[in-house]
Amino acid sequence: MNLFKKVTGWSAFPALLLFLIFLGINGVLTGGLSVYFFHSFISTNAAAICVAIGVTATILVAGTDISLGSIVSLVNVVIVTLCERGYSVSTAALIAFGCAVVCGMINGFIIGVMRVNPLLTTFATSTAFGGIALWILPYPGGYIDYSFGDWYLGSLFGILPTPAVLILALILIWTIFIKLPFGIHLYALGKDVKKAYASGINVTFLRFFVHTFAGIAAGAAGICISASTCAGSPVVGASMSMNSIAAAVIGGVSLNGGIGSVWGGIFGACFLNILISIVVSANFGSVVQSFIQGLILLIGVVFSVIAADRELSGKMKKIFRGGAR
Amino acid sequence: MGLVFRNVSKSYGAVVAIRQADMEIERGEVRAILGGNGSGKSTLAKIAGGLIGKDTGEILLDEEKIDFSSPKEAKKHQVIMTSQELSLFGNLTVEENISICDVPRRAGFTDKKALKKKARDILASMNLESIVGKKVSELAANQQYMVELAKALAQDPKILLIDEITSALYREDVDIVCRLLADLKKKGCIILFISHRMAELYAICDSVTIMRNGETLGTYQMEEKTEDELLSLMVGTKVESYHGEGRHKGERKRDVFLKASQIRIPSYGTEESLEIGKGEIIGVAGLQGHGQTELIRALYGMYGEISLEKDGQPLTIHSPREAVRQGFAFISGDRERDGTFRERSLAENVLAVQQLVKNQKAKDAKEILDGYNVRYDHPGQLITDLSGGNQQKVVVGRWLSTEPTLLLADDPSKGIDVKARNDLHREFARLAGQGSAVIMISSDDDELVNITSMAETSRVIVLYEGKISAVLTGDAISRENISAASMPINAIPDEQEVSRS
Amino acid sequence: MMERWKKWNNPYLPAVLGILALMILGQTVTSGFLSMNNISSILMTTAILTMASIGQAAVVISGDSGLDMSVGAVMSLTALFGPMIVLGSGMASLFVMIPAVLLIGGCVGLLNGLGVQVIKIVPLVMTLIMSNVVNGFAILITGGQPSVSVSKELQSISGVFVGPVRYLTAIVLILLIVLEIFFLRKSRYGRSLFLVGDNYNAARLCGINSKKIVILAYGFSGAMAGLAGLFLVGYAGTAQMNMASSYTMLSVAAVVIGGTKLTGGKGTFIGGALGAMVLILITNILQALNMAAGLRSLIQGLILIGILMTNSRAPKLRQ
Repeated sequence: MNLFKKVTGWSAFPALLLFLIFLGINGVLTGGLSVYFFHSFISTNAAAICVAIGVTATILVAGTDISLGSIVSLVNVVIVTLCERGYSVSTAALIAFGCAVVCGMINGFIIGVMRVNPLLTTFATSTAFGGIALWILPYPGGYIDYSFGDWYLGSLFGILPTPAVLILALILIWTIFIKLPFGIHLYALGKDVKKAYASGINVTFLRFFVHTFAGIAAGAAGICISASTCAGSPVVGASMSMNSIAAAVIGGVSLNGGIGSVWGGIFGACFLNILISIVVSANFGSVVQSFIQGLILLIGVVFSVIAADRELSGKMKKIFRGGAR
Repeated sequence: MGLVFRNVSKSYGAVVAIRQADMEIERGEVRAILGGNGSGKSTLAKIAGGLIGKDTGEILLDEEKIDFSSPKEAKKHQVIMTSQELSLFGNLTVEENISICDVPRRAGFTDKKALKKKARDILASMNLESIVGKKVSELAANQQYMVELAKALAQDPKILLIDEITSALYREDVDIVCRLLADLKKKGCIILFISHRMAELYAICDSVTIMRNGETLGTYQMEEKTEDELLSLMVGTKVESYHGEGRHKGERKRDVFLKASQIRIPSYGTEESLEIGKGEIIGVAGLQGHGQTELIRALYGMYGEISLEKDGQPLTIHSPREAVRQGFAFISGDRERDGTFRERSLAENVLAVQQLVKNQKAKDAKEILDGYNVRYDHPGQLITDLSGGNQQKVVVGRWLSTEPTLLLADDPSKGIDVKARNDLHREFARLAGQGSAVIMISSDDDELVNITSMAETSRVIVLYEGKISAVLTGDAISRENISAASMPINAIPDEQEVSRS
Repeated sequence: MMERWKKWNNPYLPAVLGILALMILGQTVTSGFLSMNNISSILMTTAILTMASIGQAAVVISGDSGLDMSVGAVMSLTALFGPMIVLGSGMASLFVMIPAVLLIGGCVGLLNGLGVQVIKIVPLVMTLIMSNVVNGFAILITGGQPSVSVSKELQSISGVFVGPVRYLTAIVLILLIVLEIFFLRKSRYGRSLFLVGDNYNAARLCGINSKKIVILAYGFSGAMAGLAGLFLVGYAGTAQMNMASSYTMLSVAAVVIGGTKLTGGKGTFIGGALGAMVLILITNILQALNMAAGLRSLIQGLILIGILMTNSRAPKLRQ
């Protein structure tokens, strides 16, 4: 009973439940859930999940990062360009990954050390990073050797798909960090900076770290998306920043900081993407598609915010009950 | 020996927080620092705790200079500062809060078992083991205070700086705090204790240093001075602390001005009723967080609809806006949160209600500011240029210039000095004299005794767990009676306990 | 000495200095920079950005980290939708277009406001998602292929009025001054907006309907963006999908450069206009240098970072 309460009271639980329900619906619609389906689901959405993990980390310390999408684009563009210059795919991927980490560290430096508001900082850096991507590759084009795609679609030990390994690696890094005393400090910082400082917590380091971690996550996302498309585009990650924040909110991560977990971001992203894939398979015209996707994000966020706010959800219940009478 | 402050000063730009502080504290001594708001006592504690830097002077510990660059470094030297506004994280559990400064580890990782054990060991001495595992936001105010103290104890302090216990403690809690501090004293710990509550100072401290306007004025043994003497030293002129007792007018028939039969108090889910007379001052007392604030906020329409009866006519108020239109006014002691507009000028601050809500042809801002003895340069300056007491006068001016028929005041004198406080009381009494009603909460029982003695008719109601536990009138209004009614033992008669269960 | 310094330390100063410096820089880099023609076009684009930044400023002033990230999307929408309104004569349709775009933008803005105030979604997230919805809606109504013909009357706003000042520039300038003085400074709404932005709770306790004030600020921002979109298409002569998407970022930057506090409760529309001018000058210089779009955006980002690092740093935790 206690365990049941613990599970249902978990901040990421509603998102997990939603994900499972819609997974089921999708299964019914497309005729059963197969291993193949999971494989393709994870390989198409690994990038979104990675970015959601990264952005959740920053939101937990009452920050945010809207530059991750630009970093993803940058990684993609760097890989394509380097490949075309004759670098091997793995070298190109590693260099691009390094770029992403540096981008994250730049964010971390400006936010942690220079103490600039995270939203504005990443807003500015996203323009800058996106600019670099556009500068390197002004128009979509170029291709990456298909061996990259094969590696991506393959699996580790024959069971774990490569993208899942990447996601698990991110989760592992984060979990280790959370299990260190830093974990407690991180949630404390998310609740109140001044109190955190007074308690002797290293605020600068933590902020620097979460943004660097977000950079790492964006790097992984960039590798995923490059491998799954095997092509270059300077705006491939453009919509990711916002979608990932929406995913985190749906996953029960409080935008005020200090509440939630990366699992929330992960399940939120899974839910959003399964919903979108249902919409896609429902065969609306491509014209209606983006409008519906926007509405899904809006509705998802509205509902999860209402659900998280006890006072408000009580009011809503009252209204609906009153209406029923 | 011990802890020595020599010539310490600190200013923020042109504002001087500490002019000169000199003080010596022996090992094993509990020293109170007493001073009005803005006297620099909190700043001094923060400097010692490494939260802020000092401009000049030195601090010596056992004849060795100490100068911490951060709270973290201070903690390394076992100098621990604790204050309610800076200590606990509501989203973390009790044990995480207690050990946050020094998390027990095993192989680098957080050791959850050790974390709980540590918390239990410390809380056992406070009879509070049961709260381990709970989130701090779920705790009652006095339990939170205990956790705060436990957090400080967990760091094994050599110097403990305790700033402003704002939550009132139960009597048994005070005993526990005394015992714990006595243990620390035995170990040779130096304790600096900042509080406004005289009773607690007398119970806990050995000696007291008086601060005024950023200067330390002198140190006395606690038993050498009476309460009045200390207050006089603190303010600089001779004052008598409130002596309203015995001066109250007897109970009189009053014209009912406002009748509220159902006032909901959300956090306890209780309902109370109140009849408010013309020209009456009602003091609201009780331990902090027992529904006083909610009582008057509900009257002001802040928790949604409330049905009232005004001069016999039914009246429903949905929002503060309607309350203001009905001639209600609300003054809060929490200026930063509920009162001032920090980025706006004095004129805008003082005219906010008159011009923007009531649509009255406003008086000149200058006239109002002068009328309430605000000390200022010109009406265009920012309100934050003024001292806390003067800021509060601006807020009072804002409301009283609208000539309210019902004034709701939530601890309006919090953090302002005795002089400003007396001005405030005079204005409230004047308003009551004109036939308006005043309902005032105060965390200081003496203040309530004082202000209720200034009106023709008055009452003090005491709340406990969202219920009115006592109504005091006439000579029954005294500090003893108020605190007796506030305490849990006396609040609920035994029969009620029985009938409940 | 102190007094004199204070007088100089006015919120417009960085923007004004920036404008002067950029003009000198522009003239030294390309000779034709301060030509009548170029100045005239700089003023035009500044005017359009100013319209967007007026609304943005109102939202920022409304406080609680208020930001309207849907400005660009709303502008793009009305740029597509506005010219579609065709009535008997060109002039008549112009007079219907203006209230129509104000209404469209205002509705989007009000939805933003409701989301922020009633459902309590963080402004950034609410308006970002709303911009997604609006963009999707634009694709929906145009079928993804805008075929908009902009009427002569609408295009006439870029006709020359006097000297380098074209009609639109003059209109926006008048609008700016009228809104600044009679809307923001003098009106009961504008003054309440400052108080609400400064301290939401205290304003509510004073009997100001804080919720309504903030919601209306978002509505106002949407309406202004709607109008700006119409102006943009009138100036550009053709409409494209997402043609105004960069205006979101630019409007926020303009407001910041203009000295409006992002914490709310303080700010001006005129500052936003000056900030808009700074940004347009920068873009113009970079364009004159024939810089690639990506590089331009990089430099804009770097400049913004520079401004933030000098202007918007949080106070140290240890004082």
